[in-house]
Amino acid sequence: MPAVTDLLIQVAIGAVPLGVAYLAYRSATEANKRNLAMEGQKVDQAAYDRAQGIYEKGMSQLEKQLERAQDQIDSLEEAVLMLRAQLIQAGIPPDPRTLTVQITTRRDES
Amino acid sequence: MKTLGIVRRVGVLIGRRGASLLFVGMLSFVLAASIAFAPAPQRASPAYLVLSDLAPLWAWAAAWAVSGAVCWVQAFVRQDRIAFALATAMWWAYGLAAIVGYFTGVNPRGWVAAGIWILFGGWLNLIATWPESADLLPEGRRHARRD
Repeated sequence: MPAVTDLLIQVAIGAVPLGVAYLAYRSATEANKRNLAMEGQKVDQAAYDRAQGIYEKGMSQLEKQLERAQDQIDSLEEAVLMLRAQLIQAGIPPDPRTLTVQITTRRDES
Repeated sequence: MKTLGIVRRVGVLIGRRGASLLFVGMLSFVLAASIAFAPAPQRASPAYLVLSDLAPLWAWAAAWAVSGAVCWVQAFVRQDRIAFALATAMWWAYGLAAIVGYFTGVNPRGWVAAGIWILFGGWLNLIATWPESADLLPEGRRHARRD
């Protein structure tokens, strides 16, 4: 009988730790999976942030280029007006097409 | 300042789960050494008598050492489930051995050790369920490698 009791005790000492080890194994597996999912989300977020930064930088560069182009257009228009006035003063009638272009541009602006 | 940076970097590398495993691994090595190099009077103490009744002392020491090694290795990798399972099993087994000593009357103070070992084992079970803190999971650190 004591031999049976000893055996039972030894089996219990072996079985209980195995049971809790299995629980720990499963819990750790689940936690590792959740880590992986969180990491994926963080990677996605970082990629999104980088893409947004690149997009915003590109947009601001385009806006600057547009402003510069608009300034150039304005100065060219002034030059055209000045040249027209000089031509008229010199008694040379300007090409009527330039007048059409000017009128069209002014209409677009208004 | 540089040391602080290195400590912080290691902290981010292993995370809180890894740090827990390093701690438990260190305890396991200490226990393995204490059993392996126990002096004769210590071996004759009730707690050691119970342990040696259940399994040879060298086997206990070896089991603790293996548990410590696995904990230290898995502290640095993504999958740490074997370390948690092994460490939990060892702490529970030690606690149950102490309980047996108490109930058989070999070690009347066994309930104290049993309480400590089993509660610590339960605590490890709890830590195993915790996912890593999101702050310690920046993109592309130790979990960047996909398997």
